[in-house]
Amino acid sequence: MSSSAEVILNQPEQGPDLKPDSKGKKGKSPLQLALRRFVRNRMAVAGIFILLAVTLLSVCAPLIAKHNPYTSDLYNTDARPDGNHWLGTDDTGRDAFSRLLYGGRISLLIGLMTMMFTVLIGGTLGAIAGYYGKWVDMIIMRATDVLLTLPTLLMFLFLASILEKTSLWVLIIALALTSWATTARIVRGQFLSLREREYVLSARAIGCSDFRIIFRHMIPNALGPIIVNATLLMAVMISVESALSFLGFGVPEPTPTWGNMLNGARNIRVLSQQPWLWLPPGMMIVITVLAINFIGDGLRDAFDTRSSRR
Amino acid sequence: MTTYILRRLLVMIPVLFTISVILFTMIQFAPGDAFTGQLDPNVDARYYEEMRQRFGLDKSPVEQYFLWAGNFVKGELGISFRHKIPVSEMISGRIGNTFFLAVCALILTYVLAIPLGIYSAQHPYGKVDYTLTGAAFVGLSMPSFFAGILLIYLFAFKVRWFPFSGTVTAGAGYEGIALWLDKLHHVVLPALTLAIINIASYMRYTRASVLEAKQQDYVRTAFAKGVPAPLVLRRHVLRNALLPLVTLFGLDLGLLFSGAVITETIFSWPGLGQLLFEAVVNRDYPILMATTMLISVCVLVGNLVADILYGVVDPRIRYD
Repeated sequence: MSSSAEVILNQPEQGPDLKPDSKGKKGKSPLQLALRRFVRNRMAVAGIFILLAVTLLSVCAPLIAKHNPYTSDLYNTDARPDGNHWLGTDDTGRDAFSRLLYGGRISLLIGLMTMMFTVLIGGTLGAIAGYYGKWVDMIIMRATDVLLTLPTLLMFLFLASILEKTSLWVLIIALALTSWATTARIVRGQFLSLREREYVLSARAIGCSDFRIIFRHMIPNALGPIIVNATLLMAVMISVESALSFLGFGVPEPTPTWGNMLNGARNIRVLSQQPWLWLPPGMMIVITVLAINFIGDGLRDAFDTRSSRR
Repeated sequence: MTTYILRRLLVMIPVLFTISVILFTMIQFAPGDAFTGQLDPNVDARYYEEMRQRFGLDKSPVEQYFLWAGNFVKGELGISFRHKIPVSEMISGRIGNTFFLAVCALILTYVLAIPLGIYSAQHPYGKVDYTLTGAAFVGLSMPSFFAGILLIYLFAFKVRWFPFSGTVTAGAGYEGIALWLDKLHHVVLPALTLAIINIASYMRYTRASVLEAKQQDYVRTAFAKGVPAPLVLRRHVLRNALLPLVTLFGLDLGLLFSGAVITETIFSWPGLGQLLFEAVVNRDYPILMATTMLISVCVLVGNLVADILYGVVDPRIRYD
């Protein structure tokens, strides 16, 4: 491909997404315009700050927490919160506050990595289905039918009963393999409409490869819905991980995750008498998921120029 | 319409077939079977061989599948590995509880979410609206198991208003109305847990839908010709805004059944969800296959109901 062709090809990418309300701001890319709308959304910005704070707390866990989250202190089990153990200790004498901070690392990592794998699988399959159509589309869409019929949690419980032991990465891969259907449908829908756009037709007319058309011309224009979906997906994944760990099918102990800490609350004594052990990780999940949902909603409003909110 | 329903029902068959093949294949990859886990040195090894033969585990995977599928189509769901009684018996003993829980959760959803959503839309951007919207966001962000244990902590342990497990008070021997009241007393917390996400999303949906309907021309016309406000709300706004909610009902059917796994486990509610969870823990594959297939059927039928209701509510949608 000659370089002059590339210049021509890159032009239309920016054109069609300029919607009526962006008049007078010429010279800015759709992405910049979306960013500008996003920053004006107070809830979304608050979400960003909350998520940053939670991430920072988890990343800097060794600096803040005084105790090792794995070390048991058998002389000091089930301690009440005090100056030394801010959130008390659990039934094996591990410091709950340390586990809360270190747990954030794993929970956020699972959310992030699962989201990335899910988007990778769902995005690729959705793109292939939408671009090639015909029997390829048929097969992939029937696969999403099957996956959407079986709720993710069920599918995963089924998997968990079969895998002898789960590890962090098995969990991430398994979650991604069972939950890519929605993403695939969204990307496919985008591709079906993009496929008929003039710039795609012209790219094909001058002989661009399918690979190039998909990655240079279609994916950049389908990015909005993909990013929104990915963001909300991360919130869902953090939630699903915690539910699985709560049921005892998540990341195996002694790795601290918020879900694993909540697992302790399945014990009636812990649930009724030691709320400081399970309330904080639960709140962390709610706060994190809430923050990510705000960001996702903000992104949706920012990318979707039709929405008239604010 | 009839042909549409028939076609949709026919399409379900390959989906269900694929699901069953996937589940069956997954089971084949499982290390060991239900009997390797409970090996007891006091029991003759021949007993386990006998059991394997009795459950057909010595046959080839393909043979096993067709054996299972043939029986499944005939309505024979197999025999539980662990409990040694027919799966259909176990399911029929529990499906009533799951149904009761789901119906209560649905009623709670409609009774709470719709009036609150309408109120929010009638007084938008006020204190109550902001509070409700905030609560809805929290509700949508809260994993249902956390909502469940929070409710247990607050209402079963702190104020002791509701029991935290079971469907009836054990050994109380209630009858008639007293029994139903006792059941209702037990169902409140699990139903609320199951409904929380739906309450939040229905509230958001109602609010948005009513707000949108209020801006329509026909509402302005109604006001202009002097129709009293309550009548405009009832006849013009709500009738148009709430009808689409009917379609959500179908989608809820499947979700309620599958979402109940966590809720039923937390509240020791003897329903399908708890049965399924126990089957996962015990690797009781006949139960696992049967309940998972049952839930898949519920989801598919629910989707179909949603699509049909969509056409009933909105005659512009044609099926052909």
